Amino acid sequence: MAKLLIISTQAPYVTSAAQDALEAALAASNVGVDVTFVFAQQGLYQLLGDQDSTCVQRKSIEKQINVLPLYDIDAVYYIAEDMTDLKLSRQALTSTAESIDTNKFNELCAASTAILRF
Amino acid sequence: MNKFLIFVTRSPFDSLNGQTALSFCEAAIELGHEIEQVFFYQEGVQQANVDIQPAAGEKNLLAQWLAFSEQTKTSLNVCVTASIKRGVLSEDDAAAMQLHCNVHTAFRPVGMAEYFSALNTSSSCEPDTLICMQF
Repeated sequence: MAKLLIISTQAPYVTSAAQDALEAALAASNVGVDVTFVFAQQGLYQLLGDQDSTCVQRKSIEKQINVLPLYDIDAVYYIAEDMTDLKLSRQALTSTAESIDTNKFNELCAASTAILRF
Repeated sequence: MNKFLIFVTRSPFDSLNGQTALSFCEAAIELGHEIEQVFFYQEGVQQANVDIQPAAGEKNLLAQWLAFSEQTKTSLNVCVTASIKRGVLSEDDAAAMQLHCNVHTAFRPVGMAEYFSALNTSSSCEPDTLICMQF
């Protein structure tokens, strides 16, 4: 089974990158690819709670992230150093994603068959 | 020999990514490697758009993709979901929406499963030779 690492690095709604990354993850998981999803850099803003996407008439990125485990995507992480850089707190982020350090991130990269960065 | 899966995510005139991907593919084939498929996602679907007209004297990347595909018999797969959102319509979608088709016939409109199934199969059968590249 292939191991796919998806790295989502952009804030939600500003571009289509966050949505495109989630759609790719679901498509991959659907055909049996082992998906790991990592939020990095500005991508951590996707994890903020209580998102109201109705004003931009888009699907809520937060809600889509929270249902990833229902699609067999349980390995959902964010990079702790990026959280600190962005002055975000752990409590502000959805609990679906777990914190990892850059060493663990490097291990995930090394163990992956393919990496897609959005 | 390595087998490559190529993933293109930028449009022909906003970025050099498409040109870089094509040059990479040509070089890989020349060195005896295999390109299993080129998959176009996000703005990369614009690489298949026949309505894009390069300015006079500028490179026509679509023509180059066609020549590459014809010479090497490499599959050019374009994500149908990403395409529809960006107005790049296959024959079936255009007919359903009563709009005109603008995906070149050399590009195959497919779901993302096409790319990820190839990833799964190749990683099982030839794990040591498979390389995935994103442009």
